[in-house]
Amino acid sequence: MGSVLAWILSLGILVAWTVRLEAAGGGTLSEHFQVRVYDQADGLDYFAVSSIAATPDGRLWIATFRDLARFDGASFERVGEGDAPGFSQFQVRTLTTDSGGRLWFGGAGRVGVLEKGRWRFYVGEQGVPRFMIRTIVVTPGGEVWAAWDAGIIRLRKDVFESVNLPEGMGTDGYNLVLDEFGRVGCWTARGIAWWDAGGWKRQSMPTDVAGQAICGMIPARGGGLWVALGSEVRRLESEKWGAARMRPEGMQGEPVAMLEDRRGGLWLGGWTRGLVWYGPDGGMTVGTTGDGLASNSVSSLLEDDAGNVWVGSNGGYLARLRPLTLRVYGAEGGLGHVVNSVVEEEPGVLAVGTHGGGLMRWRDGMFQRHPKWTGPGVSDTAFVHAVLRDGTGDLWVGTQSPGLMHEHEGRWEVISPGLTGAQIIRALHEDRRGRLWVGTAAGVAVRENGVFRVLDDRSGLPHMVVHGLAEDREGRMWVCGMGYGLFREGDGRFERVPVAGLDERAAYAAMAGGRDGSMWVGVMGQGVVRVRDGRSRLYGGAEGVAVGFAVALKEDDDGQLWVWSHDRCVRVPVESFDAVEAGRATRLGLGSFDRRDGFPGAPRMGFCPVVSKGADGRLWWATVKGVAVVDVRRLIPQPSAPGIAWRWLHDGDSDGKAEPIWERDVDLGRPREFLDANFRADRFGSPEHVRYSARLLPHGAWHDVLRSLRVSMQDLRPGRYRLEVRASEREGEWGIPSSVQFEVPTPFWRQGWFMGVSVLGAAGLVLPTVRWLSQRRLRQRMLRLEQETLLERERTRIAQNLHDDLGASVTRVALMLERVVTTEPMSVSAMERVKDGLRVVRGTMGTLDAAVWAVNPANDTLGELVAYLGQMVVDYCQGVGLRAVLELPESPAERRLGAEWRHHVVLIVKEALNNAVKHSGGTEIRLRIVTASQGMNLRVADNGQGLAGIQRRREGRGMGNLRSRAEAMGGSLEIRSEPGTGVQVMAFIPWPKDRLP
Amino acid sequence: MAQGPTAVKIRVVLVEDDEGTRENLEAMLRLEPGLDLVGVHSTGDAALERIPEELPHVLLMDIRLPGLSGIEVVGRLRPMMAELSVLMLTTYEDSELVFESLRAGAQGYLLKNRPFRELVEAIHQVHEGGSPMSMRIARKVVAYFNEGGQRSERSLPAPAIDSNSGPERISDREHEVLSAFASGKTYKEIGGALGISENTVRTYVRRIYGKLQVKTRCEAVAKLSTLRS
Repeated sequence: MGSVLAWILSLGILVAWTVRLEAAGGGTLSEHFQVRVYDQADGLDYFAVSSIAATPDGRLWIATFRDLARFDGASFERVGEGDAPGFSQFQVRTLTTDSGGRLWFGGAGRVGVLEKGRWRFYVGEQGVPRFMIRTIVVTPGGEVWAAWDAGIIRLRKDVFESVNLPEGMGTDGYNLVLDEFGRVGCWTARGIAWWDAGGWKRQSMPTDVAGQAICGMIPARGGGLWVALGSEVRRLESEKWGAARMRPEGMQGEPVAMLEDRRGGLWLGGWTRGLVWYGPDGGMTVGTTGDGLASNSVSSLLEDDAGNVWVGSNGGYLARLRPLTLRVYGAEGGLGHVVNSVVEEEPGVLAVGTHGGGLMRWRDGMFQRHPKWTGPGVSDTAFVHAVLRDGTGDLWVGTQSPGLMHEHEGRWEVISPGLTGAQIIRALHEDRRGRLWVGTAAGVAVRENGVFRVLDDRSGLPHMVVHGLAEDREGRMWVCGMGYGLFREGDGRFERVPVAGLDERAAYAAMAGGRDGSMWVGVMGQGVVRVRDGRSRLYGGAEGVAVGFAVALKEDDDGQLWVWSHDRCVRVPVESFDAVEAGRATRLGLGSFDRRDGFPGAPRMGFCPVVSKGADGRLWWATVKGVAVVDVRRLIPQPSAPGIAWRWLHDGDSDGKAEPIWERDVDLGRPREFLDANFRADRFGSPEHVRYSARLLPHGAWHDVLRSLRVSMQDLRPGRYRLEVRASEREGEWGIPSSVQFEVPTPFWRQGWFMGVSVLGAAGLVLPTVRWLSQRRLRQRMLRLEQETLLERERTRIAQNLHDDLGASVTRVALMLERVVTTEPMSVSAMERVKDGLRVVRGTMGTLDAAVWAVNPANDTLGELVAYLGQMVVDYCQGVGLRAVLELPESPAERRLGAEWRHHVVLIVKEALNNAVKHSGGTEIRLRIVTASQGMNLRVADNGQGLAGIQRRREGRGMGNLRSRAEAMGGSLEIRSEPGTGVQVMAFIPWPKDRLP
Repeated sequence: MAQGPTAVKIRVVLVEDDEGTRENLEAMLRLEPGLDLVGVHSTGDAALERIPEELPHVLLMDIRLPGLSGIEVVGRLRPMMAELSVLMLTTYEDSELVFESLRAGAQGYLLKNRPFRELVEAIHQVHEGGSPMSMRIARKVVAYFNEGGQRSERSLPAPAIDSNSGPERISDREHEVLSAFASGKTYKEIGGALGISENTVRTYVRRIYGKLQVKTRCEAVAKLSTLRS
């Protein structure tokens, strides 16, 4: 009987647990984070990571079970025996940083510290036991404590001394923790004790979890501790346990690394079963190798300034989890249409106007037909442009056809287009006075006290396509339309609002009212206009609004303006606009979010409302892919602008300054030939979002650079120089520059004593030589910053220039010759010569076309390459009267292929074509391209006579070239020929190695 | 000057910013029997202002113009002048630009360095309701229709925003023509294979282009800005 009861009870517990787990389901890790593993390919050359820590100079430190590695966002550097003998045979197990920026580390029989570039080690002589140090903590007062399995030590007068152990907590497995006040705690599987006035005080443990072992512990952000127990995680505060979060099955009981992030998420990492993330909304998500981690063993967790979570793995290197700030809900939620308009009906519930799927409702990630979208006059295939819920709870829907629809108590009524002035409704807005504003493809109508009125010519509004409706702080309505202008409601009439620098034909695409009385206007291709107190100002590229075009805007609850463009959204503090307006700043402080943050696409343009603010502050917007959202509450505040740390400085002399460089401002004296500077922003978390610029004072202006540059001394006049480098993140403000000072000395032949001797001694010969030498140097440009290059931008520019300048000139010449041929009488021989010239010019044009194609980074895709090769074969065959037969992949997968790689493939096909045309004698040429996961299979075949014996022996240059070219690319090439069946050139070319993140 | 006695001359307008190119083309076009060059412009703005009054049958439009681009001008003219045939002139075979021109409402394109006779032929063909197509463009069009009219690479909005039918479908025959182009076949081969004349093939191409067109101005402008940025 008893056993049956126990069975039923345990079944009940199991069911309850399962239900709880499902209710907390938080989706997969990759829905919330982008996972990137850093491993050997990135330079992290040891797989087992035991601990990670970040120092204030913007470096991430990785303890491996061998020694240390340092990461600056771009590269890993091993720190080991070569840097300090103390690292010899030193397995580092734990890292921590103190308030002074020092890095403390402990491991097998040693404790070490890095302070201002100097390593220091504590060993047996200084009281460190020969066992594995597992935790180190440093109090805010600078006291260093360390623990190993069976004991605790602390640093006193540069020597570690033993500390008495707390009683009743077992005899081994001691760990240290600091609470929010900096008190030192000690915990084992059995309990917690706090160091207080020279002795340990046991933490009294609430009884309801008695019997569960403690598996991990960290201070909680709001005070107290997060404690991982065998089967759950609880917060312990003021001697009370908070609500339990269950640990998933399989992870129970094992010790864990823990982290509470700034977004309110709690992380647990176990040694065998991966990660658990309790999201801020209570959902639980498990992360394993299935989500892209390299191993399910987690040894350490860390959150950086940018909000990335770093996962150190014992066996799986290092992983970065970048929060996807932006999310989109679309097809996987059951949406089959483009979304045009979105509005929150009640917290967490959206009314969604779709393009061809009528009105839908979104809740908990899922779409369904809107429960009210039913009855006579309602179509499941309607094109809904705008949706609104008015103050009385009625729904209004603007459609393509039949026009404006009104739902009242579950019944729909179609408002006659005669009342709204047009059938196509694009925008809806209810103002604070309860007036309903309707923007159409022909103008504006307003409903007041139940009566519609079309605003005609007398209203001051033109016949226009309305793109935006907005209300300002005073309750006045604003209307805008692309190509029509911007209008504000005055006394009974609308008046045009002129914007300095823009004419009425500008593309006024969207508006948003601001809390301070501003009206924000998005003007495509220009930027953002702020209209306030009758004054308007355009913020464009010069102020940092390089967002291409502004298709939507919205202010959030934190005083930030959000601006959307086709490929990103930016948030700008309104006070940053104030600062620029007042002349306190020249650029706006932006935070930019793009596809790397999950940006799914621009808001649908010209419909309103297209961006909607939820009651909880989230911003929702309608996109082609579905409903997108940015959770403003969970954004990490933008860290201040990054600084610059020098990685190494070389001056062409062996004495160049190499690591470690701790100063931000360095004096290099007199570099010999050149100065090579290699630098990094002091942010390792999001190098993708960092950009750099540099200048050479006293005269230089800022130039964009990548992470290194070279200054050649021979390009400089004698004098003192100062090279400055600065960085900015997410298109925000520039940080404080770091600098290198150096001097270019006056050469001896220009110094007085030498001049004197020269004049006296050998005026005839030496002086001209010296003058020539020095002038040659002076003639060279004063400053040249050789960059690791912004290659892509440069390539686009080259392609553009080739296109615009050279292309136009050659075209002009071709037409001029053509005109001569067509219109001028001339002799036959002259005519032939001009025609020859024309052929040459056209040939040049073809070559140019190929060059432009290769250079232009827009063609760096597999699709473009396939299309280009196909067209090349077609053109070639047409030119010589052969038939072209193509077998090409219809829509090859997205793959980036650099210019050089493409160029080589083009050459291979071209050469194979040449050979076929020259030798085959057939009637057709076939090109077949098949793409595989490893590379690309090419076959160029003709139906000619095949290679006869002699030719085969002379396969010679053409074919030999082909083969060596394919082999140089790591591929292979085979030529098959049977007499009478033509020649087949078959090549396999592996994809280029690509390690872009 | 020889000229077909009964044929109505094709009214042509040329828009080209490069002075040398413009003058040479103008000189040759003026001498061409069968064509009546009714306007020559060097900027998009001027073209936009004057073309509705000049009422050309065929517009020769430079794809790249300073300021208002050729594509933009076509996009704006298209709603006003449904009957206008537009041939884009381009220096290079830039399939992306060409494709966007077609989307904006052009019926064809021609490389500027092709022999002048080809240009004249193309004018006649486009005036008679035919359009040229190349293999590269055919691939783009196929990909476009495959994706249901939603182009992923630059996340452009779907076509036909303000039409009830959603993205238009192409007919089986149009699809056959399109795939034949995409596999490198010539007009002649396609006509032969399908049992239709080359001119009919061109008419099919024109219809396919028609189905690419964006139906609203705002979309066209959005696209243009995407291309520029």
